[in-house]
Amino acid sequence: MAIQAERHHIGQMTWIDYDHHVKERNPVVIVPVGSTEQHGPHTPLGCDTIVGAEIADAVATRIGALVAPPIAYGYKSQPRTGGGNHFPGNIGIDAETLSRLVSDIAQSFYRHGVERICFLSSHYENKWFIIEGIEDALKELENGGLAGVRIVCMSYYETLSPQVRDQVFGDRFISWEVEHGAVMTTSILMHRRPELVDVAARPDHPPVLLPPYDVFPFDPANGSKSGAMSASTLASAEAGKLFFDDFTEQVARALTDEFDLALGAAA
Amino acid sequence: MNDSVYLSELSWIEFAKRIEQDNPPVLLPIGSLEQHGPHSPNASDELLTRLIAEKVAIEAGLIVAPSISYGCRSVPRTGGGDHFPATTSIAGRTLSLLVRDVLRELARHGVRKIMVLDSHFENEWFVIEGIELAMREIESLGYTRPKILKVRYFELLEDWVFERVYPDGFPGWALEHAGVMTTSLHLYLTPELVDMSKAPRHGPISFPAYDVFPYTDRPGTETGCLNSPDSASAESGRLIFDNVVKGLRNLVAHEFA
Repeated sequence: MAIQAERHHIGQMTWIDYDHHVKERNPVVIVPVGSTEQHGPHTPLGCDTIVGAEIADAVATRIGALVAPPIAYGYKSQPRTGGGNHFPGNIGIDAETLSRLVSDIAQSFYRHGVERICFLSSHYENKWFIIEGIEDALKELENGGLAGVRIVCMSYYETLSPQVRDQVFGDRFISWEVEHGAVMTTSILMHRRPELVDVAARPDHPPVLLPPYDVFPFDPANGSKSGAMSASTLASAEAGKLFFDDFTEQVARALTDEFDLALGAAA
Repeated sequence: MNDSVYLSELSWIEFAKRIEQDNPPVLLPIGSLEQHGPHSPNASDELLTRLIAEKVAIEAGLIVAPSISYGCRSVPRTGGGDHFPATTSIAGRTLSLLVRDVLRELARHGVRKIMVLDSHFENEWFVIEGIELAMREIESLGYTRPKILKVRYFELLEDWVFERVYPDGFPGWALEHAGVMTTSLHLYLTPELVDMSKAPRHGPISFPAYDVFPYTDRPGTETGCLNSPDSASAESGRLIFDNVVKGLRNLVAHEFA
């Protein structure tokens, strides 16, 4: 008897269904990499993981990719880019741990016959340690005489089109660093998962702008108090739809280009 | 008494005495051995970072620890890529462990103020991890915790310097590899190591907003530069150098008061 599963979720398939997908279709496998990290008083600790999974799902539907279970823990939050690792609830892992996770997962997929992999990060601090994990995986695969795998490392927010950015932010966009827990993720959650947003609790404080260097140990008194790096009063479900549709389009297009796929119709 | 700013040129007794007397901040320069275009030297990052550290140390009475001279794997979008001859890279974890060990040892010596001065783009997050690991280890060993600053010197530049050095607009640090800033600094500090007749003339290379592995050659990356350093000058180099040294001295005075 077949299991009733989301069509593209590897974790909801049997091994036989999965094997069939891989052998018949040579699909792209998307591995969302998120975090468990404070995102202000108004959005949940799993914000990055949830938003990343939503985008991965939409992209997978569009290009016929498979989605792997997310890596739900990310690299340690830093004061300048995410608020800092001192907030209750933040579970930051070591760089080595994240790189090993990425490397091990990539090598396992390769062993299954998967040749196209995308690590889709939604947490700013993850990027360089994902790159390290991919480099490790390739080195280890080559040592084993294997080759032919192609891996894309993408932070979804980097793909935002300038038109949508201008449409939502006007001239108020500062940087992705201070967008932590702010307009973009709040809007996407209001669009996709409104039950997870406490709209009334959205911070309205000015951006937390720290000097252009890092201080260890960090004194939390100098950083964000709310856990967000700037206000999200601009956030709305409408803006969330603009962001979400654009990210889906941009990520789908990028993967289509890199893996020579046909792009399905927009939902 | 030996008045060198370099830890490596002091005896252990001189070093211990200086730490005991006025406990000066110790600077740890971090660079790379990585191609910097056809016109500037492979150790560009290490050389420039150390010369900046040396100047700040002389002016403010600090100590400069031996540089970490190898950097993390060069990525095409930010440094040209790891496939060039001479680009001799270490894994991120190797750099993190190096940073962790050196910082822990300095803490063991009683150093209380440390500035990690980095300049190689790909190093940044592995340096942060090295400091994170060092703080944890220092605490668990029961040493007194030092205050550690992590600085990329170029982030301290003031706006007016950008306007003078990049009159046509700033391309972003990712594309500045072997670009106008470092080439200008070399023309000012080490002119014998630059050959502007070999400087590439091509404009900025455009990359997609993600990275692909294994690296595939994208057209235009053959020179090792991501943008033309053509508008570099010794005069710009002097402006940048003086501004960075001033910024670092202010930072030392402010953070290590």
